Amino acid sequence: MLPVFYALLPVFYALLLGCCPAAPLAEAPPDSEGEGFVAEHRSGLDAAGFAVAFDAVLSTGFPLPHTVYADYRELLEHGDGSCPSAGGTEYFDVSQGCTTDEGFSFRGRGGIMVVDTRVYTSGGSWSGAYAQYSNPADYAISRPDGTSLESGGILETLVMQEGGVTTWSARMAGTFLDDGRSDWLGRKFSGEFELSGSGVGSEAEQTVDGELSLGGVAIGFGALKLGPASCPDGALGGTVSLRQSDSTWFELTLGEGCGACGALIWDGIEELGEACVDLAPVLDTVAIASVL
Amino acid sequence: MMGLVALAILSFLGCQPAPAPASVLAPLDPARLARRLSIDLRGVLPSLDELDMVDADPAALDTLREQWLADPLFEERIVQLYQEQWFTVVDGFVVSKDDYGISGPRNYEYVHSVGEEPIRIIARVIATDQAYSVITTADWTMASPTLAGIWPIAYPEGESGWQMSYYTDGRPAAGVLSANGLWWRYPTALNNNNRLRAAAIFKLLVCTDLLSRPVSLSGDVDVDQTDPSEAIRTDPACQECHASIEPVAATLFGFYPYNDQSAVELEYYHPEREALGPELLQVEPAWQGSPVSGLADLGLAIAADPLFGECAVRTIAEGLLRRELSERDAELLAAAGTSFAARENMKDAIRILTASEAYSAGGFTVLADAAVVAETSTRRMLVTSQLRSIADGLVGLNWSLHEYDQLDNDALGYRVLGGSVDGYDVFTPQRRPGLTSALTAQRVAEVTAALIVARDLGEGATPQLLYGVSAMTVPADPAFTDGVRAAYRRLLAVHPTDEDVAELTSAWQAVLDAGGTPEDAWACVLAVLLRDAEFVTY
Repeated sequence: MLPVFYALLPVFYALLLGCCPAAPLAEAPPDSEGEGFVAEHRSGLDAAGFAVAFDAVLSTGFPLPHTVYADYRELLEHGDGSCPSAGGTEYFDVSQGCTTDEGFSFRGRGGIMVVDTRVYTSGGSWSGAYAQYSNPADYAISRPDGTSLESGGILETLVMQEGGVTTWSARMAGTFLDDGRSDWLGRKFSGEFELSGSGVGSEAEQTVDGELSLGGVAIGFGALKLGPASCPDGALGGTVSLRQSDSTWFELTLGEGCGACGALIWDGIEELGEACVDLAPVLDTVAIASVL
Repeated sequence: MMGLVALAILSFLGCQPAPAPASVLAPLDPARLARRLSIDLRGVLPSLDELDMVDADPAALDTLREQWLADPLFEERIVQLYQEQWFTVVDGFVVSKDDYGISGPRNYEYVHSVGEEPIRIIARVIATDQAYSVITTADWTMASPTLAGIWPIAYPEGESGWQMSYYTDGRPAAGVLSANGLWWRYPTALNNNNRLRAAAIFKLLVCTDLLSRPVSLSGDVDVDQTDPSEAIRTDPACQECHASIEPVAATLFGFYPYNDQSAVELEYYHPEREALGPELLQVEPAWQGSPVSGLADLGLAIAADPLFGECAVRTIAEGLLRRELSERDAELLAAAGTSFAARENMKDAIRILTASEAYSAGGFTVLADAAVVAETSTRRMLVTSQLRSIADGLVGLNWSLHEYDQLDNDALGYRVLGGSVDGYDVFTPQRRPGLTSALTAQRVAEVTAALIVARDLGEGATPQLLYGVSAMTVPADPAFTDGVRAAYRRLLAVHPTDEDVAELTSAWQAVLDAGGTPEDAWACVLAVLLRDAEFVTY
């Protein structure tokens, strides 16, 4: 039931966006003095509708490179030594493609480079850095059932520890899709975002920046600041945004302090009052990105 | 009214209106004009019945024109015409068929599917009498089964061939501007930020070649120290072009790739990246100073630009007149443009253009001067794409090697050698004969002749060119001469003289005397006709 629900969610919010009166396109060009035009139409969504649409995008989770790494490694396990000639490494380059006897096909160039400069102390803690990156990730791996992981872009993750301070970052840019999955990766990620954080435990804070789309619906984050310990249900500041099908954007500026509500404005010109979003999927990334 | 008053005054003063200047252009005879029109509108020769029609009544050409504009072959011919100016059908793209796991020798099919997509949108609009502005505003595309198998496209179930289809990734309704095939042909390097694509839009849709615009660079610009982005925005010389380019480039970031080699990056539209345009280029999207809200709005703005319609008419005029346009064509273009603008219907422009003196020109009167001769096309050379379609129409010629159509590619074939364009190095169809085009035409002639003979003289054959003759027919038979005359007329649209018939008969006999079969002899006769200057020009 649950997978069906998640599968239908994109349909739901697509209908929500589509069923509202379509925003007509902007009309008159600027006047002779060169002042900017003013769209003569209202937004297609109200504050509540915006929130529903925004939350629906992240309902299957927030994208992270870690998911793609794991998916890639699991599929690479199905290589047979001659295809894709990985040679025991996590890298392959098969420009014309190959297929194993089991029916897994590999095409393109794939790999996860690991840079590990950690130095462990006697107490088990470590200092240094652990980085993984796929740059570029340009491959397609198909399963016997016809589904496949397709990657076209850049994945980077980094965790550092120095002087008892942990810092981390993660970046995704490009397009990643595995149509054999039901999570966010199964809905096609496209875009570029970066998250970076520091601290540990109650001190951990993370910032998210960038624009991405899942299932063709685009959202954005502007210096969205998270501190799960001090603000478990919201953010400490920043903006989130949602693109409408006519290429206009809603932008929610979160209030000062801690919260998931703020002032909503459409296309930079029409104020729509207060809206509240669910930031739980974004908050969940802190625990994942900040550890190895 | 003012003209009548002027005439009255002049008459009173004893002045007479100057006589209309005698035309410097001598028109083609009706049959050869019909041949020209049939090749231009359908890519095939007219039938004997059609030639008889215009011989009996030259005005019948108007009827034939309407029939040919409604012929399914007209849409294919428009694809050829636009390929000569849009250059999207190239021999390869950054993403190959291997990137899609397409196995087997299907590269020709793959690259042609990609490259033809945008020009098939245009051809479908023109052929189905839609308003021309649909080419930049349509919410549909044209797709082959190959494209539907690799791109996010909904293709009609149960159909085959090129069909009206729909992208399923939510890209804006912008016709060719939303077609992957256009942007795969005109890609962007990451730091070029879609500027080259913007320049392509100007060239293809409003006939403005910004890359050829002369620019005087100031000596103050230190290329080692100056930030190019800053110079583009502020230096007057750079702004000569970039004032137009940047705002258009800013609308194209839904097609901006983070990996410009990746299939999955290049096949989808990326709505979240639209905002990158204004951010990276530091301009708001606009078309010629008028703000636009995005790609769909850009398509509407372009369609509303008077230059768009003018460029459309110029594009088709160049394709039909088979030469560069000059100031002498201004009146014709204005007339065609007025007719086009009434319904935005390209066929209306084609009707005016193909009924014009310039189009019908077959020679010059004694009044022609060198400048007129230089700027007029009285005889056009058949290029590879036309030889291919004519031969296909005559006998279903399919000259292929490893699944490549040898007359429609340059990877293995003879497209450029035979006079057509390739879109990367050759941008103008060959206007005058050359060695390689002659060799290509010779080979096409020989192959086509052999195929016609095999079809028409084979056992139980139904002749479609060699009427009334068989392998047993000899020159003494009246049917022999009739067959030669019919073939001559069908291929060249002129009635042969007795001398022509005698020469062809001698050629036939010479082959037989040399030990050839009657089939060889007839193939020789046909090959001679298919290599004749009257055949390879029109």
